[in-house]
Amino acid sequence: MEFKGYAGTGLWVDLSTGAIKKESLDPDLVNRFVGGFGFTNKLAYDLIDKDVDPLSPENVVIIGSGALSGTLAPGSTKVMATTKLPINNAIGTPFGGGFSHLLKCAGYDYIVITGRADKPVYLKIMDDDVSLVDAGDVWGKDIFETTDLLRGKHGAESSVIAIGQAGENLVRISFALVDKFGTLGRGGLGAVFGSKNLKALVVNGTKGVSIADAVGFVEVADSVRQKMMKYPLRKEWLKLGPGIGIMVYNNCFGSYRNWGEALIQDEDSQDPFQAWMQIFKSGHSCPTCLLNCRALVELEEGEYAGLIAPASTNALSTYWRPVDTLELILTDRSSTLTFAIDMDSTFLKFGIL
Amino acid sequence: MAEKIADRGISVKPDRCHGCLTCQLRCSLRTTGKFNPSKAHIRVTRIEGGYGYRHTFADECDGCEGEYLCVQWCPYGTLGLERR
Repeated sequence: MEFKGYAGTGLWVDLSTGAIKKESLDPDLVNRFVGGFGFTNKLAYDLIDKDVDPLSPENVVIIGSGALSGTLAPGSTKVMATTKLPINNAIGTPFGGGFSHLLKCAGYDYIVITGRADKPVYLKIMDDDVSLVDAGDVWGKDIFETTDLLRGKHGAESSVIAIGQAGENLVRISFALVDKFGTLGRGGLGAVFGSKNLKALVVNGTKGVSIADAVGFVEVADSVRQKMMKYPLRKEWLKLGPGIGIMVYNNCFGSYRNWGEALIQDEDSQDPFQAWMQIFKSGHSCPTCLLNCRALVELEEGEYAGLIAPASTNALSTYWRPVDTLELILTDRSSTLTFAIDMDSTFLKFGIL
Repeated sequence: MAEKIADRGISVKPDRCHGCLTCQLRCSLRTTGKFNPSKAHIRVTRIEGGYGYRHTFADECDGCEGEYLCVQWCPYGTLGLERR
């Protein structure tokens, strides 16, 4: 049975045996659970034992694309990853921007990953060509190097979910990054990948996603798009990138003394807005999104001049006060991102100071 | 600086590009009837190892016979029409 808007196939990968199986999409799954979050959670409910150790081969990771992923629908780009997370033993669904559109283009709506590989591997998905590839040359490398190396091998257009050294070493606040920007995996998805000896997923697809009514679809997508384009703060948002949230965070949500106190801006504080503009280099968005909640920041002066790092909305503001110097903020950001430790989990460490 | 794309009348300001691929998705729907960025007449390529984008057009691109859908749908002002 063909479902328009869906790729029509689920991919099952057993890392222990190396077996790769393709399964037609179950109509019941589509009708009852729609896609993405629904698919991954239904499959997790069926497949993950409630008593399983998150870092054991018996844990399962289910990666899912949404029903609208791969289409022109604005902001339809999130990829879902449902698994049992090591931080608190809960089954959760971290999600991040990117990857999902190419997964659908390659012909898959979801990937079920089970078992544990004997040695480090990455999963390569290029349309019908799906294989586990030796990851010996990228194991031990950070996310940025890994992503660049895999793109060098499989094409600059491909999308990569990779873990860093933290995930390899089973750090329970480790995450993965999608295409070097999209954070994926609060709660320790990186460690789950690491426990499975799975360094990365790389995907590219040329099959495309078909829809039932192209004219009607474009009409609705365009009306949503027009509304987003008219968002009153869009112009400022494009100018500032994620920095648009700094003042709000700084005045209301800054963590201090482990959330025991809120941060208050005083005369001696560095103006966070001004500091942001010194480092903001360019804005980036996920596929199909009309707003840029990702940025590239660059230090131009000081000991770390030349440092370039991706940034998202939440971190700079919450880091700001407890650490207080730009260099420290950025170098710590850079190292957490490089080793791929979850930012929001690390800043709590500073909040305690 | 706008980069001129010969013969099509489409101008590109790569610095403004956020990598959203809207142009490729819209183009591919017109050219193939599917959403398929790999078959679009406009290609947005990541500059290897960096964070910028490069824009190229296939020989088949005819500017949608004057409709310029990629320009119409670009949300970041990267693509525009050259003044004639």
